[in-house]
Amino acid sequence: MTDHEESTLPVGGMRKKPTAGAEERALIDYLLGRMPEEQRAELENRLFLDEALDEALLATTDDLIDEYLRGRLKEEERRRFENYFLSSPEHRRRLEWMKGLLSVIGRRPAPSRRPARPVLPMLAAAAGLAAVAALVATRDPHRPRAAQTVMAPTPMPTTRPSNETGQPSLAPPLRSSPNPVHTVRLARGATAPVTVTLAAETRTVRLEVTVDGDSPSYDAMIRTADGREVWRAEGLVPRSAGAPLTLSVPSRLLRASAYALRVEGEVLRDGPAVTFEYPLRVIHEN
Amino acid sequence: MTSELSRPSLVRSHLETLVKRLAEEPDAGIRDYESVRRQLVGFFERRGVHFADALADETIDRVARRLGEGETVLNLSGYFYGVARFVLLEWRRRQVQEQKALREHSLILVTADDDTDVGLRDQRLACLEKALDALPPESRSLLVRYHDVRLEARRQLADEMGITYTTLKTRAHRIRLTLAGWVGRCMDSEGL
Repeated sequence: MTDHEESTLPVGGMRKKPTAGAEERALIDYLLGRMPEEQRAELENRLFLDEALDEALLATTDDLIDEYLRGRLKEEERRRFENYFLSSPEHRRRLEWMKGLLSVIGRRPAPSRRPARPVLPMLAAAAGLAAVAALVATRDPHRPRAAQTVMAPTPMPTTRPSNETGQPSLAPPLRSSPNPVHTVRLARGATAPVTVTLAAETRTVRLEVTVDGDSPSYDAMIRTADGREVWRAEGLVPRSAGAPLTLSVPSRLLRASAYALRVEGEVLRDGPAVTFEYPLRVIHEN
Repeated sequence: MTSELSRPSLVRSHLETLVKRLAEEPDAGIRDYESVRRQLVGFFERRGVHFADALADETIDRVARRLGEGETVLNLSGYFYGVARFVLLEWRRRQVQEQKALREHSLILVTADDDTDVGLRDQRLACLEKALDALPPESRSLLVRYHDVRLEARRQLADEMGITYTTLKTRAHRIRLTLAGWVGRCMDSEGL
């Protein structure tokens, strides 16, 4: 293969030879979940057939991660990166790889006239797989909050909006957020189904699960009532001791139906199995 | 074609359904079994899979089975792409699980996915350092500069090198792919 064979990216529904910039923008839209469904299907069709385009996608994926780690993404892009892009285990794995690479490269003197740059702030702050979960979950207190938090307390889980301190407030219950991220907290021991009401704008459901600190990491999965798995994430770690485990689930995966969320702690040698189950009832607000 | 039928997961009637469907495809890229297999092997190889052939076969088996069972697939290339991504994901999970199981039995084994282990992460970084040193100087320089400059300055770098931005981006990607392969081997053998 040559350095870069021409790809045939569908732009605006037409198959034509795009400029390099247009191709990159389209691939970024695809990676961040901004591409309309019809165009996405057409792109995936081309990705299978067009080796150069598939390679461009992989290269763009790494460049996007690079931009994220350097804190250069715009606010909207950063949110989409954390809520959509990182919902893919493959992308989380790639993020870890790029963190390592940039860290090693950052320690080397640049071969150009430019002096070597210091270790990048976000890169320095990122450490290990634990940081992946943290990056997904971290909220900058200086940024306007995009998500509304809903509590599901024990023993009878109900959904209530909370104030900024995370305490339940007296605001009207069961109103879903107009924001793209809808947060639901699940307390330990909740047995009654927790209602998750999704607005049309909701793109991501952020489930915050209270877990014990005994397991080094957790796997989480959501299954339908008949046991079909619709979502799964592995190797999750709370962002700090005592903090809940944060799960970012694309809302498009959840129909109006009953589901079961299962969280399994990594079993230590000779230790007991740690498993939590939460019944969920998803409602689409229309 | 006989060898494919030795795969237990592939039923002759399902394979025949797939072959018939492929012949109807408008795109020459997937009009026959071998071209599909080539596309799939490339898909997995570009993602650093050593056993790309095996995963390509597994993908074909699954698609053939779905078609043979009567599933309606409008966009066959997109469908292959989706199933291939899923097969890749499952393969990576299996890899992690197998490696975890082996580690529990005190065998020396590491995984690029298991970054919860600080020792493994350090080892990976050490392997990355070695791999970077082992690159030809011009490749190492390209990669370091590519990741050292701002996105817009990459175009300037491409100009300096007398190549297009797209070519620069592709070259950097291929160097990273080479590095990833070396790092994997380094971690398996504890030395390049």
